[in-house]
Amino acid sequence: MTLLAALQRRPDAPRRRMPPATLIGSGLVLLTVLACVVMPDLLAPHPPDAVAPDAALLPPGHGHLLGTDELGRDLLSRIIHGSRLSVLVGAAATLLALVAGTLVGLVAGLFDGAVDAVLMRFVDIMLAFPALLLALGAIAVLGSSPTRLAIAVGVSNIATFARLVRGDVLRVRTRPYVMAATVSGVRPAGLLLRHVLPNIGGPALSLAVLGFGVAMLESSSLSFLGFGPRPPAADWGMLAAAGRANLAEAWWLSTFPGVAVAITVLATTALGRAAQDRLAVQ
Amino acid sequence: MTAEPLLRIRGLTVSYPAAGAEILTSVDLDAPAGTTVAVLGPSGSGKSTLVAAITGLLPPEARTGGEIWFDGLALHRMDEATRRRLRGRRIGTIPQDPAVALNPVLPIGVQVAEALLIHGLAGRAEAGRRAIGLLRSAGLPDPESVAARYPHELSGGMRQRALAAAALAAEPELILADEPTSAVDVVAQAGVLDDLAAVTTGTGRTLILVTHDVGLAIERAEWGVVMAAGRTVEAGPIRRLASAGEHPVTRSLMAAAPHLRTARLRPGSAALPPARAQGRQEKRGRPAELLRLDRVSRIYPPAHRADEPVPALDGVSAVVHRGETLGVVGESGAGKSTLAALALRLTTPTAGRVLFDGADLAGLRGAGMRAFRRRAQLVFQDPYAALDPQMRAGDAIAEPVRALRLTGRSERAARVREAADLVHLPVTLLRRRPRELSGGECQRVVLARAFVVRPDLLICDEPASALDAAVQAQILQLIVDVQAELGLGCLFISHDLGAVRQVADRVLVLRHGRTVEEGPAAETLEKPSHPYTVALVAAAPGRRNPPPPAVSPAATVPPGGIHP
Amino acid sequence: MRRPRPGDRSGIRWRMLRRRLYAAVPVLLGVVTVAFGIVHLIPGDPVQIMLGTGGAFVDPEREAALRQELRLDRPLPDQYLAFLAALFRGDLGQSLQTGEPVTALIAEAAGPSLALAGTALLLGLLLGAGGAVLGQLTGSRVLRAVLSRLPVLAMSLPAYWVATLLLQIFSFHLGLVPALGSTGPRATILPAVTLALPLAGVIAHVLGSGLRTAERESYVLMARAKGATRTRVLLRHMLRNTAVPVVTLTGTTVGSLLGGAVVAETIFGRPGLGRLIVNALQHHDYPVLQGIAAFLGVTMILISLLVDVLYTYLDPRVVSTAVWR
Repeated sequence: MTLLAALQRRPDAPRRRMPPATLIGSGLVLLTVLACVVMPDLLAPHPPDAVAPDAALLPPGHGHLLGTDELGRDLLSRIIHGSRLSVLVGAAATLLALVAGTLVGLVAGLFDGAVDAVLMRFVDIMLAFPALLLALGAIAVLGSSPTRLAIAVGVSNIATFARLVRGDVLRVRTRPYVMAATVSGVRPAGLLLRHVLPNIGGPALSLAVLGFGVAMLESSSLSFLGFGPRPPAADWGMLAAAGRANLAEAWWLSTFPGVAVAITVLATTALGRAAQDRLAVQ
Repeated sequence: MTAEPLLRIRGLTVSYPAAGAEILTSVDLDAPAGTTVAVLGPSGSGKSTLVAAITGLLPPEARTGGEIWFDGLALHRMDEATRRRLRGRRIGTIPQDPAVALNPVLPIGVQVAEALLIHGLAGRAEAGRRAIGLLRSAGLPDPESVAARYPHELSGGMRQRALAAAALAAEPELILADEPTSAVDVVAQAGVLDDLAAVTTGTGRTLILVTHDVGLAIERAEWGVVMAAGRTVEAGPIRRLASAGEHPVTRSLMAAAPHLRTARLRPGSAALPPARAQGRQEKRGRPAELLRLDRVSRIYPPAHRADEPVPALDGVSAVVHRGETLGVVGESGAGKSTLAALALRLTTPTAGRVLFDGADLAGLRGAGMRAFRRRAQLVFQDPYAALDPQMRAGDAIAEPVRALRLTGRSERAARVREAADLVHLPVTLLRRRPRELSGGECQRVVLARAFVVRPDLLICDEPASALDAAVQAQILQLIVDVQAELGLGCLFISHDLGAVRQVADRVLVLRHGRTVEEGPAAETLEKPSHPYTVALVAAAPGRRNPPPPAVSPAATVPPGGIHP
Repeated sequence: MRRPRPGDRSGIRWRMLRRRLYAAVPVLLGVVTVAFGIVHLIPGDPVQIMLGTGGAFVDPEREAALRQELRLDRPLPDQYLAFLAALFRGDLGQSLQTGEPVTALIAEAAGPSLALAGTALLLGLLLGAGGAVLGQLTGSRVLRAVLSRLPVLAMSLPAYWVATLLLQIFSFHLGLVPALGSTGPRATILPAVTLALPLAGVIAHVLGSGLRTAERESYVLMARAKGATRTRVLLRHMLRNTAVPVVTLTGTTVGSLLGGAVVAETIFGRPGLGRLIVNALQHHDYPVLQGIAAFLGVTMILISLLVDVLYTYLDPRVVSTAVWR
């Protein structure tokens, strides 16, 4: 809840123009990450699991831009190959939270009274648990695998999406133009399709962009703790965890995978905030 | 103006280089000590920026040029710390909207006393005592209790008085009042202005009254300065500006001033094709009853179960005939908007009946409801809010046609163009979204949306109050014209008596949800009988105005009004 | 019920809080139900999973005993009511691993976790609020720009990454603080910083953007028009108005501090609730998980009630006397 709620644009905030450099930089970062996801083999300088005992724990430098691990595997290549799992899990989790949360938020926002009250109590119950712990609970129930990790992270964020979308729906619903449409004879389904959805669609999508960053942070934390994919598959959280064994001798092993997460999250957050400023409910 | 004026502005410019905007291009102003100077102009002419430039409270991005002299001091060369010591102490400001100009989390007394504390004029206890005295002299009853309350616990008029008290606390010589009453009701407005007049006249204080309300300026000020698009275009004694203004902007502003003695507008200035106007002639032969509210009450459930329910309307009856306009006046909270919601069946009465063409609205379902939706239409106060920001003007106008399935797809475009024509909306604007249109253009779109279904009943909720005077006049004329053409019955809700006088045949005065007085518009507004109506009329700006110059607003103002 | 008079703020305050308390009851019940449901949502037989090492032989007697202890041999409504009754008595069952009462385990772990969370909260508030206020008051454009961008950066850093980085720098390279294990004040610094960073980011971001919004508000301009200095305007007028969303978020953040504690306690090898959770998860110790879920849910509800109380002091509009007319 916290991160996403904090990043969510407040309705009365002044519109701010983000420097173009920030936007272009963020776009480039995301394109690079996307390229890694799509064609890791083309971009990685070495095969990710090529073991080379004589090249173990090499510091960053020539030959190995980000160094090697205790088996002599190239860290950069492992990060490039790990991007696929990390990004896909984050994206799937966000999609789940977006779809389910928007549905709940829409229904709660459109129907007053009992439906809204009951749904919002459920949301309150989910929000009473910290997202990371909710996801841990889901993993306790589901077991761990990339798919289950995505489901767990997605489920843990449904409530936040639902609450924020409901707020937007209520804001749109009370606008005079919705009343004007009612007077024009537009029926409830028409109000939803022609006025409510187009006006909350933009904010919900920009929220999803922000949510992707939050989902990445959460899922990589769970991977780090060992509740994600199983080796030999390796996402960024697992790479950082693996580096802990050699923390004292090889700082690069746990540092760079975390940098990859941080940069990706920063880039999506910047784009998400720019989108929110542009698409906020008027 | 022989003596050195207290405030003298020469060639003032304000621009925002980053945004590439020049707000003020050349402003000159003289305010002789002890006088009231009205700064007039349409919205967007830079009036509020001028006030901020005088106080030195422009946003940091702003760049200024020119000279501002205050009592021999060069404000334009002064550093921030010195300037700050003038603010509140020698230059007081009464801001525009009392709803947001008071800090919501601090008690009123603290905010009134603040200037005294800041400038070291009193200790904490002494300042608190003086705040109560200030609130009393600002005309607030029971000032001790008001001082302990928070802004949200006061009415708009009380907040405005509290703000005036706060601005006057340190007895500044120059008072800048930026649209001080545009957000309060007429009765409260008159009271606040009377109090302001009392502190300025005879005390040697100077008041700069910034307003778009010409009637108010003529009534309250000696001097007038007219601004348009960031520059002063004319200045002089306000009466001369009113009767013999030279600049076109001055003339159009003065012509559009609401005036209680102006007669009801006649249809025809829009030059309708005679054939179309005649087509409806027979309907106007004998006025038939269209809408009847029969002793309706609407009680809203209380916010909390233990409280008593609040009646918004209490046993009000009203009738609207075909081709006729019923004006509904009253202050905010009088129940005007509830009346509109009932007449449109956006809500149902808790007692009484609403009859449309003889049929009770409560029983309407399905097809009957859709037929009613076609025949009764609504025009809102704020045209921007009434249009979906995502929807193009043409689609917005087409919406009722589509929703009510009045015509096939092919005919729809023709209907939209016809409605746009009717309200003089250029067809080229139909592809634009609301934010790409001016306020006047938006209101035309809203009107076209209402007219496209060829309704029988039009309900206007403050249709022009968010617009500039000149645009306001055009919109009112438009409503009158279309009403004549379509033979519409119209329920016209407004707190602006001048506007009601211009369009209404009969008037209904509401107060606290009850009918106070009802009768023909001319009689009721010129010779009101109920004491409340008397007070309302007396408070309306423009009652002492000179008759407007004989220029039709439509002749001087380009369609769409004046934009910066 | 007595109708409060206008100006009777404390009467309205208590009335409002009573209403919040009533509203919290279904949520409380829901939270407890979620905790109860953890065991029942597990696909397959929970007892097999708890005891099982994957198809290995399971002592039928032990299995029956566990089934009885978890009341899994009884019908579901019975189980639920018994669970509620036990919970009401403060009995959360026994750990499957050690047989210790879950309440004792939680009580033992809560101490270090609270110390950590408390330190982090204090640090986060100081850093976050300090940064936001400094950013508002400073005349330097550069500092202002930097301070307005730092919060999002702080929020975007993964906690495990910050923790490992801090360990490398301060323990391994500089040797200033012990790397692992102990719970002394010096060993609390690094995990507290880890948790405080994103929290400070959240607070600085919300407070900072709130202050930037407030800057344009009419009441702020009015205060300046009275001659108030920038500092006075900030302290007297803007801060309290901006505090409400900050308090809300700080309230919910206490929860995510406990979430973050899972990571921090694992990396720094500290005992605490986070470690307890991870350990219970790894060993399928469901009674412990149930207990922690119930404990955390109830704690969060109490915190949100506390936030509601704070509101009534921060924003007089919450205890509106106007609605009574």
